[in-house]
Amino acid sequence: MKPLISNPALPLRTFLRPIRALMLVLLALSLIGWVSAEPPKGRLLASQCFQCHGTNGQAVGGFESISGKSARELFEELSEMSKRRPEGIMDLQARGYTPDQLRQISEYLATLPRSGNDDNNGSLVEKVKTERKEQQAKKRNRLKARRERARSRKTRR
Amino acid sequence: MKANRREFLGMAGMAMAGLGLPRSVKSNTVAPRVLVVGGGFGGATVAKYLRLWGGNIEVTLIERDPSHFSCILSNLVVTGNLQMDDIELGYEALQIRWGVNVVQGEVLQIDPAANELTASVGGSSITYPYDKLVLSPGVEFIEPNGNYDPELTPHAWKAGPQTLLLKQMLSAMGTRQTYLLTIPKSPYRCPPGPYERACGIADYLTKKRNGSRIVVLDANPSIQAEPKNFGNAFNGLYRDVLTYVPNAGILSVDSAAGTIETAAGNFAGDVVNLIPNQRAGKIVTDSGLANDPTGRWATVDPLTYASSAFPDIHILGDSQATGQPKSGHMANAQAKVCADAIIRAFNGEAPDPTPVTASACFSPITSEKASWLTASYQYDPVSKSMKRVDASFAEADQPTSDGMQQMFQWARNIFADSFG
Repeated sequence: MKPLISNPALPLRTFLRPIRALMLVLLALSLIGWVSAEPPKGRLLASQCFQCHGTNGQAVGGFESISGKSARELFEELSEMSKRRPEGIMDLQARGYTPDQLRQISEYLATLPRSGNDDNNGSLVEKVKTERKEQQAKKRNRLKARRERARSRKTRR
Repeated sequence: MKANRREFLGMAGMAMAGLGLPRSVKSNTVAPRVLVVGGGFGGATVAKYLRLWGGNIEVTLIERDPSHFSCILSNLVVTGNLQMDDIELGYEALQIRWGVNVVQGEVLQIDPAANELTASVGGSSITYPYDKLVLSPGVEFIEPNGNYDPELTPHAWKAGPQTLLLKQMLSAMGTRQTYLLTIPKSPYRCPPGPYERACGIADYLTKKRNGSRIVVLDANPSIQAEPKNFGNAFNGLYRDVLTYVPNAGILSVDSAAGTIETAAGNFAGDVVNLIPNQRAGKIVTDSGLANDPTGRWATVDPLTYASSAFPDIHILGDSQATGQPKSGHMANAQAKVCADAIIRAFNGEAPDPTPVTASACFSPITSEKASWLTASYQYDPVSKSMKRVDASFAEADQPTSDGMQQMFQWARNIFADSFG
């Protein structure tokens, strides 16, 4: 195969094509990463929030999604929780980290895409509520049936 | 919680379009291989996060069962408030969304010198080479002395058929009968769990109003978790149906007769819910990895969860000996530390020197109200151990209906963060 450069019949565009392709591949690979590069600061710490607030801070229901918000606001909120008189579970959770760790968590969470899934319904909660209502209805019906049986016995007498 | 057909097809479509696959699956380097044994909260989470964070790592999860039944919420199945479907967690999302190779099989043996594991899969013996092996097999029960039969005196401390068996026994209880519940010696899986179960059974019996009672035989000298909320419930709300006996370690049992001899006297029950003492999962013990001073748990480095015996074998969740509570939530927390450390190791980097693990859980005290318990753990470089941050450790002031709602929200999210 003749070297491309020595063939005057080939326009420069054709000569550049494989180089451009190679550059694109290199660019793509640099974006994709091989094994991932050094983990982003705060990622491991922030992942401790995901048990309740969803993978990557996107909750699947109930608790608040925490991704893609302002790092400053997140940090202020967490700092306040860590200082105020503890009431809710988050006031205790926030006390588990140093101020610097809270800052790293806030900064990492702010880089994540915001969740479009801020719904507040838990299907299991609904299920238990429905079951409870059904049980109560059954109980009412049993009592009603018992009363009716008693009434009909009295009538027979 | 298993993916229905539509969700399954949706996920499959995503995977085929290449959108659902982690980014570096598309790259063509030689992929490091991680084997994960045990598909509970720890194993599922480490497999998922290795794929989420780890670029082109090839992850294979070996699990005995086709799906996982969550111990979290399983006490509510025993009392009939939830069904088994509500606590069944499938592996479809791990396979399709995260590209984990899920193998249903039983591990036969580990060869740490050769970095190989042999498993029985579909009747054949298959050898899997690995760069890193993660063991998350949960706990194994230590059989009590006497004539012990878990089919007659169920523990229901691993959710599944045992949960249903105990549910059936409870619902078959007649009038003026006794339910015996034994609490194992610490450490055991889920510190508040047995007390939560005691409350669930007491609530059930209170509503039955048939003169039946529960006797709680605790091998420990006192309530091991949330002493205020469980103590208040035992001494107040449930005082007419519940008797709590501390220091009642089991000396021997006769499952067929329903009798237990304990350090605090002899007891007989119509239903005997015997939760035995516990140790690391069998594969950990059989592989010589249960090497802490008690010989029951695996000593690991809490920066990586690598075994002190073999650095390429990581052990997390209930089986490890760091002193952190044994629970699904903590297994999830440790799995993330382990996944991060393995990825760093493949990149030639040191582990994160300051990991935190956060623990939280909710316990129903009645069928309407739940309490919570929380604590965080920071790495202490001096003792090279995870130390509880005391300022972060507390139980709820009292059980509330909000707590009950939060419990279901918590469960839904931790199910999804681990298996979804």
